[in-house]
Amino acid sequence: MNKPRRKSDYRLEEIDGELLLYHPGRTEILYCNPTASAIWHLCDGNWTAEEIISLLRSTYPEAEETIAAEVEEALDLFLKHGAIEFV
Amino acid sequence: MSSKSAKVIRFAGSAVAVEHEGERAARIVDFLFRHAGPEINHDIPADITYRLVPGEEPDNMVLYREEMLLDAGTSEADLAERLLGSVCHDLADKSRGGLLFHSAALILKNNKGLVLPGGIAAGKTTLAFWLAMKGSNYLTDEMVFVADGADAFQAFGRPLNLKEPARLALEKYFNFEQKAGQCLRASRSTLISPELLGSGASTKETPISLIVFPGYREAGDSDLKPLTKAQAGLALMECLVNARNLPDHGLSEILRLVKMVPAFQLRYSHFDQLGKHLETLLRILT
Repeated sequence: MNKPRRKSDYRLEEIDGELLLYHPGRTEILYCNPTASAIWHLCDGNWTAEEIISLLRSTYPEAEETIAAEVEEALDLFLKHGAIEFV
Repeated sequence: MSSKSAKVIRFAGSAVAVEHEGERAARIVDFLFRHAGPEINHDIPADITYRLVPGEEPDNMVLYREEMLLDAGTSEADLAERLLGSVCHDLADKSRGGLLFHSAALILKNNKGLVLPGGIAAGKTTLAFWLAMKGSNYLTDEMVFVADGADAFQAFGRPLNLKEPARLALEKYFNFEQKAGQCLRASRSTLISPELLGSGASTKETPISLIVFPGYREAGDSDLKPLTKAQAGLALMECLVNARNLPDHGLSEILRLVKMVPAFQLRYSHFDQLGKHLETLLRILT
């Protein structure tokens, strides 16, 4: 139970590399910058948070120092809004 | 003998009626709503009826919403402010057929349509006032409607409602005493006729050229920041007042809008900071 997975009840709108996640049942919308968008796409139930951090560090070495905090922040946001679950 | 009349105010797919009796009530209704239409959507029936009538006491007037007593008193300005706020609330509540934003709007000096969406205390009214003092044509400080599929907006033409602290800050730009005849000063705010703020408001459609989200703060530097389309979409969703009446809460239409119109965030703490940003915006639009 440590791999984040997207819930299917969010509608995804991608614009210029950023995301808006919209929940049709609530008047609720989440904004994801390009990093948060990448994290969202990695929430498929196959990766732990640590593995996501590691993957993004290797992809964006210039942002190595901030990646861990950004992943933690994004997962907290997704979880708080019920957009992901841990499997 | 007392004259009775009624005005139907139609905007954004919604309508309310205001019945009034006597010269004072007629003057208030005319002052508040003479710019509000009915140029568009003239077949929509009124959902709610207001009545502004003389009270039993001398100089007293009474305001009803349907059968409910809403307000009473001798101050025309206070009754006007109450009526205006309540009518706008009802129009927004039933609005359909497009996006209704909590937003100010103007036509800039170069004839480009500017909308200023924002929540309470974002500074949209004071910024609209300042822009009007700098030569823009004021349209509204409260509601902007974009019909489904449209590339233009309709503004709810109404007197600008300037809260008391903002009035103090704007006294150097506007002689309130000299223009008192075209203003109504209520307990907490001043209602200023659109005629004093440009060539006259209109509910006719204006092409949307630019969206600026004002962000007034008490202190600090100013900045004008371009927003990404997703950021603009999120910010517009937060200013959408009729989401519950729209398919997918208006998201598809908002995305269409942000793909079409550039959006900025303007943070400021003082009017002296705004001149350079206005020049930048005008340059972007030429």
